[in-house]
Amino acid sequence: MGKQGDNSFTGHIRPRQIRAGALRLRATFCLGGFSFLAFIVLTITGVLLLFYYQPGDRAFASLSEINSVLPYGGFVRSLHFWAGQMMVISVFLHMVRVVWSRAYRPLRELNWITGVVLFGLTVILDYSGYLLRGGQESGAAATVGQALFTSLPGGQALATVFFGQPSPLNGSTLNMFVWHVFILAGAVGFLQMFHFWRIRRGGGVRPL
Amino acid sequence: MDLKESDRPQVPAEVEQSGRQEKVPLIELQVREYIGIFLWLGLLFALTASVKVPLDSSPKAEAVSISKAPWVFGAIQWLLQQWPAWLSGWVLPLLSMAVLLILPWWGRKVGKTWAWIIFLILSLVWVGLTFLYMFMG
Repeated sequence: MGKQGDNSFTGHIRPRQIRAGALRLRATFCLGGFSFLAFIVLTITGVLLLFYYQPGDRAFASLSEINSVLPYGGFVRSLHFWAGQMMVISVFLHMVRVVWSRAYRPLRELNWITGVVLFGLTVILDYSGYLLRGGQESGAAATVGQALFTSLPGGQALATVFFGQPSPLNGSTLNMFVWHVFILAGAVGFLQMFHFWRIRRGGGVRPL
Repeated sequence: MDLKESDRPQVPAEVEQSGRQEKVPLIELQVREYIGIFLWLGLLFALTASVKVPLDSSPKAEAVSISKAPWVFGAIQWLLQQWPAWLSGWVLPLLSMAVLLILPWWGRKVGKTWAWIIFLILSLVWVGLTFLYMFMG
C-alpha cells in the first residue's frame, strides 16, 4: 500500500521525507499553501457561478438572481469574493516571507520571478472579477482602466482586446469574462504548477 | 539508494548549510497542513457568513457619480488623482514590478539587508497608498 502510494502521481510531486526544520510554522507560515487553497476554492465556486452567470448586459441581473433566488447562490458568490480577497493578501504576505527568509537567492531566482508574475496576475484577476459584477461601480472601474490603456500609443486596440466595449454603467463584457475565467485563471493555474515543480526541484522548503 | 558523501554533486554553500538536517516523514508536515487548511477554511466561512457582499448599483438605476476603485487598485487610483495617467498608471507600477523582479540580483550586489529595506519601502508605500485611498481617498 505504502509502496503503491509512493509510485503514484501525488507520491511523486512531494518527497517522502522532508527536513525537520521545515515543520516549523515560521518556515513558511503556510502562506503559499493558503494561496493555493484560495485558488482551489475560487475554481470550485467559480465553476458553480458559471452555470448561471451571464456576461454583458445580463451580468447584473444574473448576479442578482444568483444572489437572491438560487439556493445557496449568495453563499457561493460570497465565498468566491472572500477567497479572492484572501488570495491577494496571502500571496503578498507569502512574498514578504520569501524576501524575509531570503528564499529568492541562487537556484531559486526563476521561482521568485514566477512568484512576482503570479502576484501581478492575481491582482489583475481580482480587478477583472470586480468588473464582472456588472454594476455602475464596475462600469466606473472599467472606464478608468480603459483610460489607462488609451493613454498609451496604440492603446485603443489593446483596450478593446482586454475590455471589449463596456458601458460606463456596466463593466462586464464577454472579453473580460474570457480573460477572467479562461486566460488569467488558466495562466495562474499553470504558473502555480510550475512554481511547485521548481520548489520540489530546488530541494523543497528550507527553514528560516 | 543514497550516494556516498564523495559521490554527491557539488552544491552552493548556502544550500549546503541548511541541507544536512534530520529528515522526517512527509506525513508529519501533512498533518500540520490539514490543521492549517481547517483553520483557513474556518476563517473563510466565518467571513462569508458574517460579512455580506453587496451587489453594485444597478446599471438601470439612475446614474450616480462613482469613482471608487477596487481596493487592490486603490494605490494606483490615489496616484491617478495626483499625477498624469502615464506616470501613475504605468511608469510607477511597472517600475515597482521591475524592482521586485530583479531583487535576487540586486540582493547579491547591495547585500541582504539593503534588499530587505528596498522591498520593505516599496511594500509600505503601496500598502500605505492603498489604505490612504480606502479610508481618506
